[in-house]
Amino acid sequence: MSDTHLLKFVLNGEEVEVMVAPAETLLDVLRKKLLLTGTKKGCAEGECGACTVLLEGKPVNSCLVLAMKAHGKTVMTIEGLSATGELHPIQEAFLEAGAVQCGFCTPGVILSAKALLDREPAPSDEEIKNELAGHLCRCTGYIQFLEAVKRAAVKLGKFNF
Amino acid sequence: MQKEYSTIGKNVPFVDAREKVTGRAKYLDDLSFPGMLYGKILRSPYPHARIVNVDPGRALSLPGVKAVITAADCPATRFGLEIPDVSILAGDKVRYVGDEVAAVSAVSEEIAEEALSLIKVEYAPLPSVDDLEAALAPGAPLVHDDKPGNIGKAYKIERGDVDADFAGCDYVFEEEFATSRVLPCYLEPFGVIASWENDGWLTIWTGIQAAFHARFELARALNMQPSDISVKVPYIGGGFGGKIWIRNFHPIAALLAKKTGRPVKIVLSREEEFLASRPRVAARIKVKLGLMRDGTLVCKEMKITADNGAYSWAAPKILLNMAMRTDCLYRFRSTRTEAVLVYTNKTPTSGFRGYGNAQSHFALESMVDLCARKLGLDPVEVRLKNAVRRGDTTLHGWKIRSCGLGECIEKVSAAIQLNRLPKEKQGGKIRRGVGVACVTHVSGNRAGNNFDGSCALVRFQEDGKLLVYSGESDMGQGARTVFAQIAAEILGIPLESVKVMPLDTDISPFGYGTYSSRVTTVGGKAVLLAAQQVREQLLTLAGKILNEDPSGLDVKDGQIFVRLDPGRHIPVAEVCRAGIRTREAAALTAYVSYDPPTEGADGNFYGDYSSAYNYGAHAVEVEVDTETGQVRVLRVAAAHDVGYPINPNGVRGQIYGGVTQGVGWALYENLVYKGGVLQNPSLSSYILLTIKDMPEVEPFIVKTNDPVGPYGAKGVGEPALIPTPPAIANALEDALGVRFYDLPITPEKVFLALYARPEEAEK
Repeated sequence: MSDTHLLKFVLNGEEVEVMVAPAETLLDVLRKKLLLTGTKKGCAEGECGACTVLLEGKPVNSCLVLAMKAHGKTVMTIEGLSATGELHPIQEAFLEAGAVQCGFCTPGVILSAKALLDREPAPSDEEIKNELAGHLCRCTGYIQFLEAVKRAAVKLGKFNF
Repeated sequence: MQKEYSTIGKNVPFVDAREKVTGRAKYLDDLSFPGMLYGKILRSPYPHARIVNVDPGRALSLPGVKAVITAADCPATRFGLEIPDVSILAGDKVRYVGDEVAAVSAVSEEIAEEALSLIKVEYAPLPSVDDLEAALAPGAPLVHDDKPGNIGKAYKIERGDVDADFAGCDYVFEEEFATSRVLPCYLEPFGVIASWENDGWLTIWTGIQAAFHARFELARALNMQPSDISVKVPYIGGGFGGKIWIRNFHPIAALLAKKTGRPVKIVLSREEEFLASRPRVAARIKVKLGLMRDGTLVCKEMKITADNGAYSWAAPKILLNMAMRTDCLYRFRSTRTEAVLVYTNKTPTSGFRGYGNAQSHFALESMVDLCARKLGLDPVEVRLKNAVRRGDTTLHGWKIRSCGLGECIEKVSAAIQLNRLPKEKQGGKIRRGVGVACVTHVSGNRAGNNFDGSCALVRFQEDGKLLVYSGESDMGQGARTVFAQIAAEILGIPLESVKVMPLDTDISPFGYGTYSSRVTTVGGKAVLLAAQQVREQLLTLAGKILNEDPSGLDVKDGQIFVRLDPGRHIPVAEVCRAGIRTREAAALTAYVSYDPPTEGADGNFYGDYSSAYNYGAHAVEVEVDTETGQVRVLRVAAAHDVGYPINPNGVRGQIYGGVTQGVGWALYENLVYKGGVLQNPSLSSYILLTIKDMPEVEPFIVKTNDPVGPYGAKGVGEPALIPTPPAIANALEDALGVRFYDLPITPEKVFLALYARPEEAEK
């Protein structure tokens, strides 16, 4: 089609090329064209945080980002965090802390936690809350998220990531 | 002496958490099939209007559109639970903003959406009834022409001699309370994929809490036999009651798929979730309470008027729970409740965590507190004095086989007094207070003579791995994990050897589903009994191999051993191999249909109808900024009698989540309608708590070892939310000396309540 453009970007460490329409969101391209369904669509209006991915290492609501905005950039989705099959220490921490119930918000929350821990290896409760304030979770009551992120910080410190 | 368990009572991570943290868990919208089309629904913009004409016209000629359906394409049957008042697509008139009028299927969501705008519907708007007053006014417009007075259902339930008891009380008080419309608001939008086989079989993929009910209700809607429909349940992204029952979009997808011969997917948008989802039934509840001077609660009368919305899916049963359950919290001598369900031109309501019981707890638990304060008594002491106890048979015939209500009250009231902040700060600008409220709820709920149990199929494979099948859904609460723990415990195998299979009505055994806080209690018991039968088969076969009496054998950590000579052992895997891959031809499989030993209620709603009754109490500390009316919940102590916690982390997860939803209901969440039109159909205007709004929550697990539930376990899912709103209202009276009767308690209400008093207003 004439009104599509070639989007080239680095997705989970690999170069990807895909034709996208100007109005297509990064979320739809990831889910429908690249079949990476780990990124969830909770509201498509930038309110729930379930579609969070890392664009150039920073968390964004992929439902509000036009796909072409990722051109020439790096994107990480939840699938990229444990590409080898081994759980990433943040994933382990969420699992151990009981921070996962229905799991629908989980991929987005984990990616925001990664962005935070990349920037601040030993975050305070306040910093964790600020980072995760854009994520709605209807199951857990959030309390387990705090423990999970702190647990992950310890793990990452120990393994010297 | 309590047996030392290997997995029961342990904080094992949820067995499906690995799938979820990696993003591999597949929810409905993550599935797609070759040739699949996307369905979209055209919804009414009017709260009440006659449909003059629907013209699919140009929609059909839009490239990519494969089908358009209207009421004319639907079976004429009406469906629904108690009152069949639902049509698949509206024919004669629309009854709420969001009512389904037509539907399209197309090769993409965008084209389907565009096609909707090309369908021409001619409406003749009718006067609408937007609230209870309007709907009950003489001569009010009728939502359904065959429902005079807009009354959907009415109950009058009376036990003992209420009038005589009121006459004999030292004090009688009466107040009216009101609860608001709130939405389950699960994170995963509800959806469906429908696909037909050539032989007329229909397959439905949907993340639903009650798959076998869904199959039955779909069959009713489509004029089919249940067994010609297969319901397959992928991962569910939260439900909280909102995904128990089918919605119109389920049969709509089936009809679109039939018309096109291709699979059709419909996933609701977040806006549709607000417009056409199923909020909690809002109610006005008048409570009259009779007490003695010493705080003895004698009798109670409630008058309930509940807003059903436009169609009455589960609301009649919800009204019944609202009318009855709080009668069983305290040792009342008599009670009487009159309850009516009223049709309005608003979104139809249904179940949300508590299923009616939460609304009447807000009223009663506010009222008990208020009365105790009027009498100068300690509300905590009044509750303890009147609390039901083990061995009681309540006014409605509930037999209380285990009860930790008193312990829950004591635990939280002590905890909230520890480290309390001063009652005032900044010269009285900030005020603080504490409050307590309780809950009783059920673990399963037998309707009449219906089955109220669960079935389980437990099956060893040749390598010693175990498959567990249940008809109960896991919507995120941890049912898979609880079932796996129970099976692993009974069979002495590692948790990793157990796989709990996805729910599929063609394969899974019959089950009613995930509601009534019943899954651990009845679903878990079925798994336990089936695992015990498989264990007998396993040990019998092992006895044959080892030449030992099976009664002298035991199994632990995947090894079967001779109890008196533990050196003699054989791996479970080896016995399974010998049983399945040799001429032994052992089944190593058991199917159990378990029904709990309860009576069910009679025609007058009397009878012991739940496997176990669960209890809890919450205590909260609140802080109010008297200049802005802003309320902050600082701390919540939440104790729940869960019988025995199969997975304590799972129980705490339910408590944290329940408290959060309770705080939201009390302070922030509210569906606001104006002229029948929802004013806040998005997550930016319907306010959920974020991580920054969370109070400190201290959970207490109270063990009462229920004699019926598996390992003594009872339910906790719903009760975890119920006491929070009244506890907050009670804490506010403690802080401000002002009683709030209506939810949500917004800053405006607090501010006005404070400054409506002339001496305050002058400051």
